[in-house]
Amino acid sequence: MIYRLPPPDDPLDQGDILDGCLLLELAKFDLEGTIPPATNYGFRRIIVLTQTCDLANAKARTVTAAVVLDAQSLVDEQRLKPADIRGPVRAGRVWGWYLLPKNAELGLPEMIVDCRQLHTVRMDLLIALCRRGQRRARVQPLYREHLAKFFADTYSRIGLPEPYETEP
Amino acid sequence: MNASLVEVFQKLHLEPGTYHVHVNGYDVEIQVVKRKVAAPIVAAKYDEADVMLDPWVELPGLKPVGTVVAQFAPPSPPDIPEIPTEDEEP
Repeated sequence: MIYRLPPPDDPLDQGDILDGCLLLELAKFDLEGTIPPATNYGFRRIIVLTQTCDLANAKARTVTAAVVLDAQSLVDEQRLKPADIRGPVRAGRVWGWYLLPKNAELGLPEMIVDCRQLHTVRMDLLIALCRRGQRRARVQPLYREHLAKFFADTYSRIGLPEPYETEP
Repeated sequence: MNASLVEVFQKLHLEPGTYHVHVNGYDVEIQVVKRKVAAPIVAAKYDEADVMLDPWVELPGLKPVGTVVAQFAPPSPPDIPEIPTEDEEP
């Protein structure tokens, strides 16, 4: 079982997928400070990346979250080809993109966790979303750790200038 | 030889110190010291105040210099990463 839907009053946990998370985006800035920065806001689906042990001690006031994209929407917008999702994205070979499978029971489509779009989100905001029933699912252990490893690898990878030579 | 010496020394009431004697044209020096007993191995001492029982540190947050009202906007399209071909490793 990849997903489980916890009750609304269940504590926030690593792997929780929430809808309608308020996120801010800096739209314009002026380093001279003469014009106030312009900030946009929007509501996105996110997944909690902060690890369970760091949430369990109830001391964290903020959570690291990644934006979750609808894979089909990216295809519909012709940003991706279906073969890209079936192949490299599903195999975890696209830097920073982790595919989560669909789940008809929970009404979740095929999703892409964008580990390059990270946000620091207030814990109380996410808890309020959970209580409002906007937590859609929780990625279960093994799959959760698989995502955590992918997230860590996204930022700890070391690239060589070019691949090693091999015999043809 | 050693066994003979032990037998001889056991009969003497040796005290810690050094004895010099001449035997058969040789200078013989006998050094008597108390046998050292190896000290038991114990854990290194540490200051309990140095033990961090609660490693959580809350650093001071941002000191705001102003407040701006955000405007609603559709999310920016995702930055599409380079998609490797089937035979290409990332």
